[in-house]
Order: sequence, then structure tokens, then C-alpha cells
Amino acid sequence: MTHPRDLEQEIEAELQAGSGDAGTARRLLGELYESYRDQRRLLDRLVRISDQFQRAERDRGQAFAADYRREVRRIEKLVRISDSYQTMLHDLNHRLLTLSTRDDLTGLLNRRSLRERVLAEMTAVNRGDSGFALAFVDIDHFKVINDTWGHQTGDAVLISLASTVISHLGDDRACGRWGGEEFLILFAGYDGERVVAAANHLRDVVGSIRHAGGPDGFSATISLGVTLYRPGETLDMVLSRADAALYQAKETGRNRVVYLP
Amino acid sequence: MNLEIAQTNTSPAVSADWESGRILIRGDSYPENSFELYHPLIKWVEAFLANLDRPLRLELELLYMNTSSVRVLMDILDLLESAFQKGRDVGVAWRYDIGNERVAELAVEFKEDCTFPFDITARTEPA
Repeated sequence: MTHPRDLEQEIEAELQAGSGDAGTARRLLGELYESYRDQRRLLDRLVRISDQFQRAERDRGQAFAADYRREVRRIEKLVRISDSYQTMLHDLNHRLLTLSTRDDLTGLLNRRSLRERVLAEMTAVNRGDSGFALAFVDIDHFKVINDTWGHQTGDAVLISLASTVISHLGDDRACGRWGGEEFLILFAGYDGERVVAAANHLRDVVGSIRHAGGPDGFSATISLGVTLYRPGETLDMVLSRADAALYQAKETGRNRVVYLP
Repeated sequence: MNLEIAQTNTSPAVSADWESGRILIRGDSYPENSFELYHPLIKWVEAFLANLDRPLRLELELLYMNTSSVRVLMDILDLLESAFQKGRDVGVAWRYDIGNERVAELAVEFKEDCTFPFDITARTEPA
């Protein structure tokens, strides 16, 4: 087959020579047609190959996008599950903290936690901060309440006293269940006059509450032993004085506040 | 070719039985390097699925998992899903304590993309 460029030159030469030979013209036309047909086949192949490349590229792009979406979904799922575990752990920690620092029945601080709180206040006072007062609170004749109305009623009285003290103080970290029916209240920043007034007010409020029991219900009174912390003294010293004040309140008729500064 | 990984404070007990095709993972999982810890298990699962035609059952009694452990478990579930798509008999049984519904909710999250049998059951007795 004649190369297209040679064919072109041959046609140019024939046109210039102008021989007018029909046989030559037919041959050149035939070769021209064959050349055109070959070029078209080549072009078709090129187009097909190019299309294949484009399709492959598009498929690869789609596969990549699908992979990407799948990975994003996986990461989202991982984060979601991981977050749930974090929340679960946080809630468990919170529950453990509550269990270890709070009294199960009343929700007040337990003895150990309140002791730590008072020790922290003592450190603050000994550093120069304003003082604080402590009050031991004991429910009068609690055994009689339990024996008369049952332990569930006794528990209800304890819970009622706890919530009354907390709402009175406005601080759920200032009162703890010291043991049995005895509570300890921390009055941060209080002086003697103010703490005695607060203690008497609390005694009045508690005494006015009617508890379910019997046809008319009943009321429970409290005795309070109050004292001020003296800078430099130990926890045992201030607690002993508050305890002595409570003992006096009990000995002198109950339902009263005794203050030993 | 059985696999046993002893339980520690931060990682679960893992046992994989080649004969019965049963894998058990039990405990908490928050090791320092989850990928290292679970690498033998991943290899075990791949080998089991490649070399045998027996059913494979994964039994889980997991409580807490850190993020990398979650990732590894997702990878294992992906292996099972891929095997299931090829016609293999695979399944997961996730047991949780009846008092800990949140673990059940998490198990449901894991189950989400799995089309193979994935049972989540409450256990009343401690393991």
C-alpha cells in the first residue's frame, strides 16, 4: 500500500502533468479511498481506546468515592460507639464517686467525705480565712420513732431531716450523716451569734414538719450541739466540744440548741 | 492451631478453638496497644476462613472497650461479613449482663452493618 504522503505527491504530480489518463486517475482514486479507509479505521480504534480509558478512569473514580464513603461511615460508627463507651465510663465513675462519698439512704455526704471537707476548712482558717462553726444534730427519741412507727418511717424521718437541712443551708456539701440518727453540719463563715440563730431556726422548721404515722401523723424534734472552730486546734478537739454541747442539749431536755464557743 | 490470650486487668480473655471454630472474647478491653494484642486473633480468623470450610462462631462477653479495641472488633466483624457474602456459615453471639442494658445498645451498634446472624442475649447469671 502506498504511504499517504507518497500518494499525495503522486496526485499532485498527475494534476500538474495533466495527462488526462483515465486509468491513472482511477488507480489514484482507488488508492486514495483505501488510504482514507485505513485512516478512518485507525481513528475509530483511537476513539475506542480513548473511550475505554475514560470509562476506566470514571469507574476508578466511582470506586474511590464508594471506598471513601464506606471509610467515612466506618469512622463515624467507630466514633459513635467510642463516645457511647466514654459516656458509660463517665456514668460509672459518677456512680462510684457517689457511692464512695454519699450516704446511701439520705444522699448526704458520708462521714469520711464530710470529715475531709471540715479538714479542708480548718486548713483554710489556719491560713487566715474566716472561721466556721460545727453543729452535731441528733433526732430526739429516734429509737421510739422506730419502735412505734417502724424502721421505714424512721428512714423517712432521716430523709426528711436531710432534705430540710440541705434546703436550709443551700449547700449539699455542708452536711453529712455522721452515723445512725446523728448528722454534722458545717456552717462556713458563721460566727457564734449567727450559727445559734441558724441552728434554732432549723430546730423550729424540723419540729414543725408532720410525718406520716398514726391518724394525725407525728412530729420529730432535734437537739443541736454547736461550737466554733478555734484556729490551731485539731479536728478531734472541735468535734469533742460539739459533741459535749449536744450531750448537754440532750441532758437538759432535748429539742434545744446548746452553744459552747 | 488453637489460640489463647490470657486475661489481664486491661484486656479480655481470648480463646479460639480450631476444631470447633469457636472464638470467645470475655472481659474489658482497653490495652495500651489493641492492634498488637489482637493481631494474632485477626491472623487466626483469616487463616481459619482461608483454610477451612467449617462454620465460625464468635462469642462476645465484652463490657468496656477503648476506641482501638472497637476498631479491631469492627475489623473482625468485617472479615466475618466478607466471608458470609461468599457463602460461609458465620455468626456472632453477644451476651451481656441483664443489669447492663447499655452494653446491649452498643452491641446493636456493632450489629448494624452485619447481615450474618448476630444474636444479642441477656444473661441473668454472672459468667
